[in-house]
Amino acid sequence: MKAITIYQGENHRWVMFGRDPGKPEKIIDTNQYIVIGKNRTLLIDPGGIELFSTMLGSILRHVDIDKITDIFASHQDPDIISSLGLWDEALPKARLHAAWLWEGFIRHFGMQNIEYVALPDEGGKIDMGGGVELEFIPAHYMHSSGNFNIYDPTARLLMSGDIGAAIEDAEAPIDVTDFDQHTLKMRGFHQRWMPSNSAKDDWIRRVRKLDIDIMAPQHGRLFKEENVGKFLDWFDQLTVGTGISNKNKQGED
Amino acid sequence: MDYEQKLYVTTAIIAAELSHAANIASEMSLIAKNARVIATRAGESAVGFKPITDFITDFAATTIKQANDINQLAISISALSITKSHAETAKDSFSRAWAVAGEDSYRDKIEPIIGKISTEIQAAEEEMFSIFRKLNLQLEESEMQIRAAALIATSAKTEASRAGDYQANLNVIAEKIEETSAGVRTHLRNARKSLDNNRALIS
Repeated sequence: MKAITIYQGENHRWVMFGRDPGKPEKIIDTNQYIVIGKNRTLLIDPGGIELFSTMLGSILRHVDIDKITDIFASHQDPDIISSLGLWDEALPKARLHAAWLWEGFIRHFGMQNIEYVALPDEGGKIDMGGGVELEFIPAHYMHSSGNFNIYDPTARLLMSGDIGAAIEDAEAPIDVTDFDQHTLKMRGFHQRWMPSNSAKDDWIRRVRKLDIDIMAPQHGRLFKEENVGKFLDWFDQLTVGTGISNKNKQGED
Repeated sequence: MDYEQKLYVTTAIIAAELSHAANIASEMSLIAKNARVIATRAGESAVGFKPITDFITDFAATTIKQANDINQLAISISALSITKSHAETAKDSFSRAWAVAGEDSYRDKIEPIIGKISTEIQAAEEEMFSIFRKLNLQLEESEMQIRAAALIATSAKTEASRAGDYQANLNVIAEKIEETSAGVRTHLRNARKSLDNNRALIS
Protein backbone atom coordinates (compact mmCIF):
# COMPACT_ATOMS: atom_id res chain seq x y z
CA MET A 1 0.00 0.00 0.00
CA LYS A 2 1.32 3.43 -0.93
CA ALA A 3 1.43 6.15 1.70
CA ILE A 4 1.81 9.68 0.37
CA THR A 5 1.91 12.93 2.30
CA ILE A 6 -0.53 15.12 0.39
CA TYR A 7 -0.29 18.12 2.68
CA GLN A 8 2.40 19.17 5.14
CA GLY A 9 1.60 22.23 7.22
CA GLU A 10 3.21 23.79 10.21
CA ASN A 11 0.99 22.05 12.71
CA HIS A 12 -0.57 19.15 10.82
CA ARG A 13 -0.10 16.69 8.01
CA TRP A 14 -2.40 14.75 5.66
CA VAL A 15 -1.26 11.29 4.55
CA MET A 16 -3.11 9.32 1.88
CA PHE A 17 -3.00 5.50 1.84
CA GLY A 18 -4.08 3.52 -1.20
CA ARG A 19 -3.17 1.84 -4.48
CA ASP A 20 -2.65 -1.42 -2.64
CA PRO A 21 -1.25 -4.04 -5.07
CA GLY A 22 -1.72 -6.76 -2.45
CA LYS A 23 -5.46 -6.32 -2.00
CA PRO A 24 -7.77 -9.21 -2.98
CA GLU A 25 -8.66 -8.92 -6.66
CA LYS A 26 -12.42 -8.43 -6.41
CA ILE A 27 -12.27 -5.82 -3.67
CA ILE A 28 -12.60 -2.23 -4.79
CA ASP A 29 -9.48 -0.08 -4.31
CA THR A 30 -9.92 2.66 -1.72
CA ASN A 31 -8.09 5.74 -0.48
CA GLN A 32 -7.70 6.12 3.24
CA TYR A 33 -6.45 9.27 4.90
CA ILE A 34 -4.95 10.24 8.21
CA VAL A 35 -4.58 13.74 9.59
CA ILE A 36 -1.83 14.01 12.18
CA GLY A 37 -2.35 17.11 14.28
CA LYS A 38 -0.73 18.58 17.38
CA ASN A 39 -3.26 17.19 19.82
CA ARG A 40 -5.31 14.71 17.81
CA THR A 41 -4.85 12.28 14.96
CA LEU A 42 -7.85 11.52 12.79
CA LEU A 43 -8.20 8.37 10.70
CA ILE A 44 -10.56 9.04 7.78
CA ASP A 45 -12.60 6.25 6.16
CA PRO A 46 -10.25 3.52 7.47
CA GLY A 47 -11.49 0.97 4.93
CA GLY A 48 -12.75 -2.57 4.72
CA ILE A 49 -11.86 -5.49 6.96
CA GLU A 50 -9.72 -7.06 4.21
CA LEU A 51 -7.41 -4.05 4.21
CA PHE A 52 -7.04 -3.72 7.97
CA SER A 53 -3.62 -5.38 8.37
CA THR A 54 -2.01 -3.47 5.52
CA MET A 55 -3.61 -0.24 6.65
CA LEU A 56 -2.58 -0.57 10.30
CA GLY A 57 0.92 -1.68 9.31
CA SER A 58 1.26 1.32 7.00
CA ILE A 59 -0.07 3.78 9.57
CA LEU A 60 2.40 2.55 12.21
CA ARG A 61 5.21 3.80 9.98
CA HIS A 62 3.86 7.34 10.36
CA VAL A 63 2.27 7.63 13.76
CA ASP A 64 2.23 5.94 17.15
CA ILE A 65 -1.05 4.07 17.61
CA ASP A 66 -1.59 5.78 20.98
CA LYS A 67 -1.76 9.09 19.14
CA ILE A 68 -4.76 8.10 17.01
CA THR A 69 -7.64 9.67 18.88
CA ASP A 70 -10.43 9.85 16.32
CA ILE A 71 -11.93 8.02 13.37
CA PHE A 72 -14.27 9.44 10.77
CA ALA A 73 -16.64 7.47 8.55
CA SER A 74 -18.07 9.50 5.68
CA HIS A 75 -20.92 7.00 5.46
CA GLN A 76 -21.78 3.41 6.33
CA ASP A 77 -20.50 1.39 3.37
CA PRO A 78 -18.35 -1.72 4.06
CA ASP A 79 -15.40 -0.35 2.05
CA ILE A 80 -15.46 2.65 4.41
CA ILE A 81 -15.78 1.15 7.85
CA SER A 82 -16.23 -2.66 7.93
CA SER A 83 -12.81 -2.87 9.65
CA LEU A 84 -14.32 -1.12 12.69
CA GLY A 85 -14.40 -4.29 14.83
CA LEU A 86 -10.60 -4.56 14.55
CA TRP A 87 -9.96 -0.84 15.06
CA ASP A 88 -12.08 -1.25 18.16
CA GLU A 89 -9.39 -3.63 19.49
CA ALA A 90 -6.54 -1.39 18.32
CA LEU A 91 -7.95 1.97 19.46
CA PRO A 92 -10.23 1.26 22.40
CA LYS A 93 -10.20 4.90 23.56
CA ALA A 94 -10.90 6.44 20.15
CA ARG A 95 -14.04 8.29 19.10
CA LEU A 96 -15.86 7.55 15.84
CA HIS A 97 -17.45 10.55 14.11
CA ALA A 98 -20.21 9.55 11.71
CA ALA A 99 -23.77 10.48 10.79
CA TRP A 100 -26.33 10.06 13.58
CA LEU A 101 -28.43 8.27 10.99
CA TRP A 102 -26.06 5.32 10.74
CA GLU A 103 -25.22 4.63 14.37
CA GLY A 104 -27.47 1.57 14.75
CA PHE A 105 -26.14 0.19 11.46
CA ILE A 106 -22.42 0.91 11.83
CA ARG A 107 -22.41 -0.76 15.25
CA HIS A 108 -23.10 -4.03 13.39
CA PHE A 109 -19.44 -3.95 12.33
CA GLY A 110 -18.48 -4.44 16.00
CA MET A 111 -17.93 -1.63 18.48
CA GLN A 112 -17.40 -2.49 22.13
CA ASN A 113 -14.94 0.21 23.15
CA ILE A 114 -14.91 3.10 20.69
CA GLU A 115 -17.26 5.99 21.43
CA TYR A 116 -19.76 6.88 18.68
CA VAL A 117 -19.96 10.64 18.15
CA ALA A 118 -23.20 11.11 16.23
CA LEU A 119 -22.88 13.99 13.77
CA PRO A 120 -26.05 16.03 13.37
CA ASP A 121 -27.32 16.63 9.82
CA GLU A 122 -25.79 20.11 9.74
CA GLY A 123 -22.29 18.72 10.48
CA GLY A 124 -19.71 19.92 12.99
CA LYS A 125 -16.03 20.60 13.67
CA ILE A 126 -13.05 18.93 15.31
CA ASP A 127 -10.15 20.80 16.89
CA MET A 128 -6.90 19.08 15.96
CA GLY A 129 -4.74 21.41 18.04
CA GLY A 130 -2.23 24.02 16.92
CA GLY A 131 -5.02 26.18 15.53
CA VAL A 132 -6.13 23.53 13.05
CA GLU A 133 -9.84 22.86 12.87
CA LEU A 134 -11.50 20.40 10.47
CA GLU A 135 -15.12 20.79 9.39
CA PHE A 136 -17.58 17.96 8.81
CA ILE A 137 -19.48 19.19 5.75
CA PRO A 138 -22.93 17.69 4.99
CA ALA A 139 -23.03 15.69 1.75
CA HIS A 140 -26.30 13.86 2.32
CA TYR A 141 -27.50 11.70 -0.58
CA MET A 142 -24.03 11.97 -2.12
CA HIS A 143 -24.38 8.99 -2.29
CA SER A 144 -25.53 7.84 1.14
CA SER A 145 -28.55 9.28 2.92
CA GLY A 146 -26.34 10.23 5.88
CA ASN A 147 -23.06 11.43 4.33
CA PHE A 148 -20.31 13.88 5.26
CA ASN A 149 -17.13 15.32 3.70
CA ILE A 150 -14.24 16.84 5.62
CA TYR A 151 -13.02 20.32 4.82
CA ASP A 152 -9.69 21.58 6.09
CA PRO A 153 -9.61 25.40 5.66
CA THR A 154 -5.92 25.57 6.63
CA ALA A 155 -4.79 23.03 4.03
CA ARG A 156 -7.62 24.12 1.67
CA LEU A 157 -8.35 20.44 1.26
CA LEU A 158 -11.73 18.75 0.81
CA MET A 159 -11.97 15.02 1.50
CA SER A 160 -15.00 14.36 -0.68
CA GLY A 161 -15.89 10.73 0.03
CA ASP A 162 -17.39 9.09 -3.06
CA ILE A 163 -17.76 12.40 -4.88
CA GLY A 164 -15.05 12.52 -7.54
CA ALA A 165 -14.43 8.79 -7.20
CA ALA A 166 -13.01 6.68 -10.01
CA ILE A 167 -11.78 3.11 -10.09
CA GLU A 168 -8.08 2.90 -10.83
CA ASP A 169 -5.48 0.15 -10.87
CA ALA A 170 -2.61 0.03 -8.37
CA GLU A 171 -0.18 1.67 -10.79
CA ALA A 172 -2.33 4.70 -11.62
CA PRO A 173 -0.95 8.16 -10.80
CA ILE A 174 -2.17 9.84 -7.64
CA ASP A 175 -3.29 13.08 -9.31
CA VAL A 176 -5.70 13.73 -12.15
CA THR A 177 -3.52 14.76 -15.07
CA ASP A 178 -5.90 14.76 -18.05
CA PHE A 179 -9.29 15.85 -16.71
CA ASP A 180 -11.28 15.08 -19.89
CA GLN A 181 -9.87 11.55 -20.01
CA HIS A 182 -10.60 11.13 -16.32
CA THR A 183 -14.29 11.96 -16.75
CA LEU A 184 -14.64 8.70 -18.70
CA LYS A 185 -13.76 6.84 -15.50
CA MET A 186 -16.14 8.89 -13.36
CA ARG A 187 -19.24 9.34 -15.48
CA GLY A 188 -20.92 5.95 -15.05
CA PHE A 189 -20.15 5.80 -11.37
CA HIS A 190 -21.56 9.24 -10.57
CA GLN A 191 -24.63 8.82 -12.74
CA ARG A 192 -25.55 5.51 -11.15
CA TRP A 193 -24.43 5.97 -7.54
CA MET A 194 -25.49 9.57 -6.91
CA PRO A 195 -29.23 9.38 -6.48
CA SER A 196 -30.41 13.00 -6.43
CA ASN A 197 -29.88 15.91 -8.82
CA SER A 198 -31.18 18.41 -6.25
CA ALA A 199 -28.78 17.05 -3.58
CA LYS A 200 -25.96 17.30 -6.12
CA ASP A 201 -26.85 20.92 -6.99
CA ASP A 202 -27.04 21.84 -3.32
CA TRP A 203 -23.63 20.27 -2.63
CA ILE A 204 -22.00 22.05 -5.60
CA ARG A 205 -23.50 25.39 -4.52
CA ARG A 206 -22.03 25.04 -1.02
CA VAL A 207 -18.66 23.65 -2.12
CA ARG A 208 -18.11 26.42 -4.67
CA LYS A 209 -17.98 28.84 -1.71
CA LEU A 210 -14.99 26.98 -0.18
CA ASP A 211 -11.34 27.63 -1.01
CA ILE A 212 -10.11 24.27 -2.24
CA ASP A 213 -6.62 23.42 -3.52
CA ILE A 214 -7.03 19.65 -3.23
CA MET A 215 -10.15 17.53 -3.55
CA ALA A 216 -9.44 14.05 -2.24
CA PRO A 217 -12.01 11.32 -2.96
CA GLN A 218 -12.24 7.88 -1.37
CA HIS A 219 -11.50 6.12 -4.68
CA GLY A 220 -9.23 7.19 -7.52
CA ARG A 221 -7.16 10.33 -7.99
CA LEU A 222 -6.75 13.68 -6.32
CA PHE A 223 -8.08 16.84 -8.01
CA LYS A 224 -5.68 19.76 -7.58
CA GLU A 225 -5.86 23.47 -8.37
CA GLU A 226 -7.86 24.10 -11.57
CA ASN A 227 -9.07 20.50 -11.74
CA VAL A 228 -11.22 21.16 -8.67
CA GLY A 229 -13.18 23.80 -10.57
CA LYS A 230 -13.29 21.59 -13.67
CA PHE A 231 -14.77 18.80 -11.60
CA LEU A 232 -17.48 21.05 -10.14
CA ASP A 233 -18.40 22.32 -13.63
CA TRP A 234 -18.45 18.80 -15.06
CA PHE A 235 -20.51 17.49 -12.17
CA ASP A 236 -22.90 20.44 -12.45
CA GLN A 237 -23.97 19.46 -15.96
CA LEU A 238 -24.19 15.73 -15.21
CA THR A 239 -27.58 14.12 -14.74
CA VAL A 240 -27.48 11.61 -11.91
CA GLY A 241 -29.86 8.99 -10.52
CA THR A 242 -29.92 7.10 -13.80
CA GLY A 243 -30.82 3.79 -12.18
CA ILE A 244 -34.44 4.89 -12.22
CA SER A 245 -34.43 6.33 -15.73
CA ASN A 246 -32.68 3.25 -17.13
CA LYS A 247 -35.36 1.08 -15.57
CA ASN A 248 -38.08 3.28 -17.04
CA LYS A 249 -36.50 3.05 -20.46
CA GLN A 250 -36.42 -0.72 -20.20
CA GLY A 251 -40.11 -0.62 -19.27
CA GLU A 252 -40.89 1.53 -22.30
CA ASP A 253 -39.03 -0.84 -24.57
CA MET B 1 -14.46 -26.99 6.60
CA ASP B 2 -12.42 -25.53 9.43
CA TYR B 3 -12.49 -26.40 13.09
CA GLU B 4 -15.00 -23.72 14.13
CA GLN B 5 -17.40 -24.45 11.32
CA LYS B 6 -17.46 -28.09 12.35
CA LEU B 7 -18.25 -27.07 15.88
CA TYR B 8 -21.01 -24.69 14.79
CA VAL B 9 -22.54 -27.44 12.71
CA THR B 10 -22.19 -30.09 15.42
CA THR B 11 -23.82 -28.01 18.12
CA ALA B 12 -26.60 -26.89 15.78
CA ILE B 13 -27.32 -30.50 14.78
CA ILE B 14 -27.35 -31.70 18.39
CA ALA B 15 -29.69 -28.87 19.41
CA ALA B 16 -31.99 -29.61 16.48
CA GLU B 17 -32.09 -33.36 17.26
CA LEU B 18 -32.91 -32.66 20.91
CA SER B 19 -35.58 -30.21 19.83
CA HIS B 20 -37.20 -32.97 17.73
CA ALA B 21 -36.93 -35.33 20.71
CA ALA B 22 -38.60 -32.70 22.95
CA ASN B 23 -41.49 -32.35 20.49
CA ILE B 24 -42.04 -36.13 20.56
CA ALA B 25 -41.77 -36.07 24.36
CA SER B 26 -44.59 -33.49 24.48
CA GLU B 27 -46.71 -35.89 22.44
CA MET B 28 -45.71 -38.67 24.84
CA SER B 29 -46.92 -36.62 27.77
CA LEU B 30 -50.38 -36.33 26.20
CA ILE B 31 -50.43 -40.08 25.51
CA ALA B 32 -49.59 -40.77 29.17
CA LYS B 33 -52.45 -38.52 30.33
CA ASN B 34 -54.85 -40.31 28.02
CA ALA B 35 -53.56 -43.70 29.24
CA ARG B 36 -54.13 -42.69 32.84
CA VAL B 37 -57.80 -41.87 32.14
CA ILE B 38 -58.35 -45.20 30.36
CA ALA B 39 -56.51 -47.16 33.07
CA THR B 40 -58.70 -45.51 35.74
CA ARG B 41 -61.84 -46.49 33.84
CA ALA B 42 -60.49 -50.03 33.39
CA GLY B 43 -60.05 -50.29 37.17
CA GLU B 44 -58.46 -53.46 38.59
CA SER B 45 -57.86 -55.07 35.20
CA ALA B 46 -55.41 -52.25 34.26
CA VAL B 47 -53.84 -51.66 37.65
CA GLY B 48 -50.35 -52.37 36.25
CA PHE B 49 -50.76 -49.57 33.71
CA LYS B 50 -50.71 -46.73 36.24
CA PRO B 51 -47.00 -46.91 37.16
CA ILE B 52 -46.24 -47.13 33.45
CA THR B 53 -48.10 -43.88 32.77
CA ASP B 54 -46.34 -42.29 35.74
CA PHE B 55 -42.97 -43.28 34.31
CA ILE B 56 -43.87 -42.04 30.83
CA THR B 57 -45.06 -38.70 32.26
CA ASP B 58 -41.79 -38.30 34.18
CA PHE B 59 -39.75 -39.43 31.19
CA ALA B 60 -41.44 -36.92 28.90
CA ALA B 61 -40.85 -34.08 31.38
CA THR B 62 -37.20 -35.09 31.84
CA THR B 63 -36.62 -35.33 28.10
CA ILE B 64 -38.09 -31.86 27.54
CA LYS B 65 -35.92 -30.42 30.32
CA GLN B 66 -32.79 -32.13 29.03
CA ALA B 67 -33.50 -30.91 25.52
CA ASN B 68 -33.73 -27.35 26.82
CA ASP B 69 -30.54 -27.76 28.87
CA ILE B 70 -28.64 -29.22 25.94
CA ASN B 71 -29.94 -26.46 23.70
CA GLN B 72 -28.59 -23.86 26.13
CA LEU B 73 -25.21 -25.60 26.20
CA ALA B 74 -25.17 -25.74 22.40
CA ILE B 75 -25.95 -22.00 22.21
CA SER B 76 -23.12 -21.27 24.67
CA ILE B 77 -20.70 -23.35 22.62
CA SER B 78 -21.76 -21.58 19.43
CA ALA B 79 -21.30 -18.14 21.04
CA LEU B 80 -17.85 -19.08 22.38
CA SER B 81 -16.92 -20.59 19.07
CA ILE B 82 -17.81 -17.30 17.34
CA THR B 83 -15.84 -15.32 19.94
CA LYS B 84 -12.85 -17.58 19.38
CA SER B 85 -13.15 -17.39 15.62
CA HIS B 86 -13.33 -13.56 15.68
CA ALA B 87 -10.40 -13.38 18.08
CA GLU B 88 -8.33 -15.65 15.83
CA THR B 89 -9.13 -13.45 12.83
CA ALA B 90 -8.17 -10.38 14.86
CA LYS B 91 -4.92 -12.01 16.03
CA ASP B 92 -4.06 -12.93 12.47
CA SER B 93 -4.85 -9.38 11.27
CA PHE B 94 -2.74 -7.72 13.97
CA SER B 95 0.14 -10.15 13.38
CA ARG B 96 0.10 -9.32 9.68
CA ALA B 97 -0.02 -5.58 10.49
CA TRP B 98 3.03 -6.08 12.73
CA ALA B 99 4.89 -7.69 9.81
CA VAL B 100 3.77 -4.99 7.35
CA ALA B 101 4.89 -2.18 9.67
CA GLY B 102 8.48 -3.45 9.75
CA GLU B 103 11.16 -2.60 12.28
CA ASP B 104 11.27 1.13 11.67
CA SER B 105 7.80 1.79 13.05
CA TYR B 106 5.68 1.96 16.19
CA ARG B 107 4.77 -1.72 15.89
CA ASP B 108 5.83 -2.59 19.46
CA LYS B 109 2.58 -0.90 20.52
CA ILE B 110 0.48 -3.67 18.98
CA GLU B 111 2.33 -6.51 20.71
CA PRO B 112 0.25 -6.16 23.93
CA ILE B 113 -2.92 -6.25 21.79
CA ILE B 114 -1.80 -9.54 20.22
CA GLY B 115 -1.03 -10.90 23.71
CA LYS B 116 -4.46 -9.86 25.02
CA ILE B 117 -6.22 -11.50 22.08
CA SER B 118 -4.21 -14.73 22.56
CA THR B 119 -5.39 -14.86 26.18
CA GLU B 120 -9.00 -14.36 25.05
CA ILE B 121 -8.64 -17.21 22.55
CA GLN B 122 -7.29 -19.56 25.21
CA ALA B 123 -10.04 -18.64 27.69
CA ALA B 124 -12.78 -19.18 25.08
CA GLU B 125 -11.25 -22.52 24.12
CA GLU B 126 -11.09 -23.77 27.72
CA GLU B 127 -14.66 -22.72 28.49
CA MET B 128 -15.90 -24.23 25.26
CA PHE B 129 -14.31 -27.60 25.99
CA SER B 130 -15.70 -27.58 29.52
CA ILE B 131 -19.24 -26.98 28.20
CA PHE B 132 -18.73 -29.61 25.53
CA ARG B 133 -17.99 -32.17 28.24
CA LYS B 134 -21.16 -31.14 30.10
CA LEU B 135 -23.11 -31.59 26.91
CA ASN B 136 -21.69 -35.09 26.56
CA LEU B 137 -22.78 -35.99 30.11
CA GLN B 138 -26.30 -34.64 29.51
CA LEU B 139 -26.59 -36.72 26.39
CA GLU B 140 -25.43 -39.84 28.26
CA GLU B 141 -28.17 -39.27 30.86
CA SER B 142 -30.80 -38.94 28.14
CA GLU B 143 -29.59 -42.16 26.55
CA MET B 144 -29.92 -44.05 29.84
CA GLN B 145 -33.47 -42.76 30.23
CA ILE B 146 -34.48 -43.84 26.77
CA ARG B 147 -33.20 -47.37 27.36
CA ALA B 148 -35.52 -47.59 30.38
CA ALA B 149 -38.37 -46.14 28.30
CA ALA B 150 -37.93 -48.92 25.73
CA LEU B 151 -38.38 -51.54 28.46
CA ILE B 152 -41.46 -49.73 29.78
CA ALA B 153 -42.97 -49.70 26.30
CA THR B 154 -42.70 -53.52 26.23
CA SER B 155 -44.28 -53.77 29.69
CA ALA B 156 -47.13 -51.54 28.51
CA LYS B 157 -47.98 -54.09 25.82
CA THR B 158 -48.05 -56.90 28.39
CA GLU B 159 -50.25 -54.90 30.75
CA ALA B 160 -52.60 -53.94 27.92
CA SER B 161 -53.18 -57.61 27.10
CA ARG B 162 -54.57 -58.12 30.62
CA ALA B 163 -57.00 -55.19 30.53
CA GLY B 164 -60.15 -57.09 29.43
CA ASP B 165 -62.62 -54.76 27.69
CA TYR B 166 -60.01 -51.98 27.59
CA GLN B 167 -57.38 -54.18 25.93
CA ALA B 168 -57.84 -52.62 22.48
CA ASN B 169 -57.64 -49.03 23.78
CA LEU B 170 -54.60 -49.73 25.92
CA ASN B 171 -52.93 -51.64 23.07
CA VAL B 172 -53.17 -48.51 20.94
CA ILE B 173 -51.65 -46.54 23.83
CA ALA B 174 -48.86 -49.12 24.29
CA GLU B 175 -48.04 -48.94 20.57
CA LYS B 176 -47.92 -45.17 20.71
CA ILE B 177 -45.59 -45.33 23.70
CA GLU B 178 -43.34 -47.71 21.78
CA GLU B 179 -43.47 -45.54 18.68
CA THR B 180 -42.69 -42.28 20.49
CA SER B 181 -39.89 -43.92 22.53
CA ALA B 182 -38.36 -45.13 19.28
CA GLY B 183 -38.68 -41.61 17.86
CA VAL B 184 -36.89 -40.05 20.83
CA ARG B 185 -34.23 -42.79 20.65
CA THR B 186 -33.59 -42.10 16.95
CA HIS B 187 -33.01 -38.39 17.60
CA LEU B 188 -30.73 -39.12 20.57
CA ARG B 189 -28.72 -41.53 18.42
CA ASN B 190 -28.36 -38.88 15.73
CA ALA B 191 -27.18 -36.39 18.35
CA ARG B 192 -24.70 -38.97 19.66
CA LYS B 193 -23.33 -39.58 16.15
CA SER B 194 -22.70 -35.86 15.69
CA LEU B 195 -20.98 -35.68 19.05
CA ASP B 196 -18.83 -38.74 18.29
CA ASN B 197 -17.68 -37.12 15.07
CA ASN B 198 -16.08 -34.49 17.31
CA ARG B 199 -14.83 -36.94 19.92
CA ALA B 200 -11.42 -35.26 19.89
CA LEU B 201 -12.97 -32.17 21.48
CA ILE B 202 -14.18 -33.97 24.59
CA SER B 203 -11.40 -36.48 25.16
